[in-house]
Amino acid sequence: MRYSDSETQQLLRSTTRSYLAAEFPPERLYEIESGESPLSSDELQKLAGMGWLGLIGPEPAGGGGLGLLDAAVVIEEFGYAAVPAPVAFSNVAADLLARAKLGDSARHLGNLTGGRQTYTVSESTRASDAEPASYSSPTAVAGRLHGTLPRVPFATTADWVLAPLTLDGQPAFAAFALDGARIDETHLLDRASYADIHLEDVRLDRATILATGDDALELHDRCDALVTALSLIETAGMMQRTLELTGQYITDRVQFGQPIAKFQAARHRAADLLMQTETTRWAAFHALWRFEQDPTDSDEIWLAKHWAVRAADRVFQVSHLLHGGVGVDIEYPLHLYTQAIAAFAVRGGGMSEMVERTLEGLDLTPRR
Amino acid sequence: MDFTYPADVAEFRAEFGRYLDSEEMAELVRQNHAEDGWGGVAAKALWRKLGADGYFGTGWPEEYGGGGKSLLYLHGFNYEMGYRRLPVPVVTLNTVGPTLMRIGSEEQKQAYLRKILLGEIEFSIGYTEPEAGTDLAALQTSAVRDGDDYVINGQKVFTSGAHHADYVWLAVRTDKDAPKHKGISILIVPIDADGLEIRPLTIMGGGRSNITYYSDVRVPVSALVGEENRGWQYITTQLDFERVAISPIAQLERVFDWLCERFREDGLPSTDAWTRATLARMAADINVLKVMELKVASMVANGEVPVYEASLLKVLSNEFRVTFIGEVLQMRGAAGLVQKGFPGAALDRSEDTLEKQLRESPITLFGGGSNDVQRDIIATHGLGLPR
Ligand SMILES: Cc1cc2nc3c(=O)[nH]c(=O)nc-3n(C[C@H](O)[C@H](O)[C@H](O)COP(=O)(O)OP(=O)(O)OC[C@H]3O[C@@H](n4cnc5c(N)ncnc54)[C@H](O)[C@@H]3O)c2cc1C
Repeated sequence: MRYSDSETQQLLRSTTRSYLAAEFPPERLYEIESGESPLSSDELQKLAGMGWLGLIGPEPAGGGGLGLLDAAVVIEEFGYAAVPAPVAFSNVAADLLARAKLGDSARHLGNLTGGRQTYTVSESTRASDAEPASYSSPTAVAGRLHGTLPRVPFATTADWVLAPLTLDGQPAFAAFALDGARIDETHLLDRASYADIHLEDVRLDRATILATGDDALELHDRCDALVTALSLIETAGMMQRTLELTGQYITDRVQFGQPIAKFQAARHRAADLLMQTETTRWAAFHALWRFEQDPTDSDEIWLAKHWAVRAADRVFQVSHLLHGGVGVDIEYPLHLYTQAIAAFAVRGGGMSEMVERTLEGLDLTPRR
Repeated sequence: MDFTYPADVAEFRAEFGRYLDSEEMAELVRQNHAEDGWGGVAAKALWRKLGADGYFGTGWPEEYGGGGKSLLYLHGFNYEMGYRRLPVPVVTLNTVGPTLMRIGSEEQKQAYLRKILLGEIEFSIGYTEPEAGTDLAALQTSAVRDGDDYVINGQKVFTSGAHHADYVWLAVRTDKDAPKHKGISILIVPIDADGLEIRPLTIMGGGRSNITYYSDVRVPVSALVGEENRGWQYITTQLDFERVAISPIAQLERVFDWLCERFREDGLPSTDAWTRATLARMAADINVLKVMELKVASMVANGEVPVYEASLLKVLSNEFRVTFIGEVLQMRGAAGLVQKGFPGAALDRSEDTLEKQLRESPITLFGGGSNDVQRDIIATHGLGLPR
């Protein structure tokens, strides 16, 4: 047992960190956030060129050959750098494609890792979302597709989205081509790129069926678990940077003739920030490791998110309290992190869903 | 003990509420909801209307044109406005007005008080500086006497409202050699004064504050409020009106009532354990805050000073608020994260989004006296602990 990066992970981490710091200085991040100039296809191509969009999946199948934990280290660095790129989603897509038994999944995987096409996945749809009735999930009847995939991350830059559908009344999982669909771009509070994808009487052959029946349910569950775990790790990276920014601010900021960091109340709050951040991070990595060992065991992922949602609230409050006004100035980086941390607690299911999943995991069915 | 809410105040609130909800006010209300609470054209129009209809001065003494009623009327006014997400010129009505009543010159009273009550003028507050935030007394912007003028030089940050206000209520250093609390004065500076430059500062959530620069800005000596070098005292003691004016509960109840309404419409599954338990906890929390808000308001109205009670209310209510909005968002799902103007955004009746409320929620944690300094006040004045 070892709670630290392997050599591969160290290398991945340092490469990712220095690349992102150089390519995405705060000014570039503010531009992306303001919607003025979103992440460009050129930037995305470069990320693909680094191999970061398809780290997972066996090499013979066209995958990047890395394990989940290795990929997670790269994704954590994207969180640390506050670069809103589809790395987590693209890697989940790679993982799912490598497992899909039907369709031309191998060709898709090759296209993904080769950087020829970009892929995303839909976030958990299980949340007790009070969705408008018009957001009915996709169904295919008699060779025609209907329905909506709500708020698909990075759909505006992707060529394909992997998501569940109902195929002639049966569960299925598919890759949907985005060029035939109506895409309504929307913006969440952190300006991350999301879009509603409307499939209105689209030919079924615009979707590649990757799995049906139990296989499809399995892929869907795996998708939810991985998106949650990797988003959690990306958030842990954001929390880490939030912690560092806060520590730096209270060290440099002098009020009442001394650095704020000398006031015990402020020190204690900063210590709380560290505790929330570290626990979130290790719970997330441990859960992902567990899932990698046994793909039927996602319980720890929901426990980790359960903890992280509460930690997110603490981190949001305490980092802003300690930063004062500077923290809400949009020309200071803190808000890039705290907005995304706040969004994380809601996206793909909040506490209600975590409690439900946790209770399922505890299996409290009465024994007679 | 007597917890009866005075019947006349309740009646005023009901009447004022009907007025705000009337057909006559509908367009102004709509415009203000669209303007999103950071002041501006619609806010000014609303304030003029409220002023003209006599709603601004109910809690002010009659000698200054007010209604001479109890300060509870002010609380009621602010509650009804806050519950409908309508902007209140908080600093103009509750800081500038009352201070001028107490220590302003006759000329200043004549020049400003009536116009304030009519909603015709607006002040912004210029206290905070790059190096003087929580430690406000460290402020450096200087005002030097030159004949019959003061000449002002320096920089302020977060001068909210300066881009649509008429004056800045400016804290300046008039004695560099005195101990830091004893060399501060308050000046009234017209917003169009030569040498005053205003630059926007955008806040998380999209709101606008300002940075203001003062280079050789001249104001006549008559712009001084009260006595020279006693500004610190004016800043820190003129809090009664502010304490009673701020009603954090109104905003919380507005969202909570809306939330319950949604569940009444959509249904709340009996299996949704977290949502049910959390809703119940929210109700208990809001109840406590409401009881404490009334305590603070009644103390002020009775002429007592809620030294630590106001701090208690501030800390509890704004920490609750951040968590509360985050939890409401989880209950309503990702639609609540969508920004106004984009597909799928969930707007409430006042055209508000939860995501914006969440992004603006941290401001009160450190604004208006940081929570951790409030805790010091509670320990010192509430518990009598040694400093
Ligand atoms: C949206 C917005 C609007 C504003 N509007 C106005 C306005 O109209 N006019 C105006 O003058 N100002 C305004 N302000 C400024 C506001 O009053 C300041 O942000 C506030 O006083 C805190 O100062 P600071 O931001 O410099 O934080 P800092 O002084 O840097 O403090 C940051 C944190 O350090 C900690 N800290 C500091 N001192 C201590 C201590 N002694 N013990 C323990 N912890 C401590 C606290 O956690 C505190 O929250 C506004 C601010 C915002 C964000």
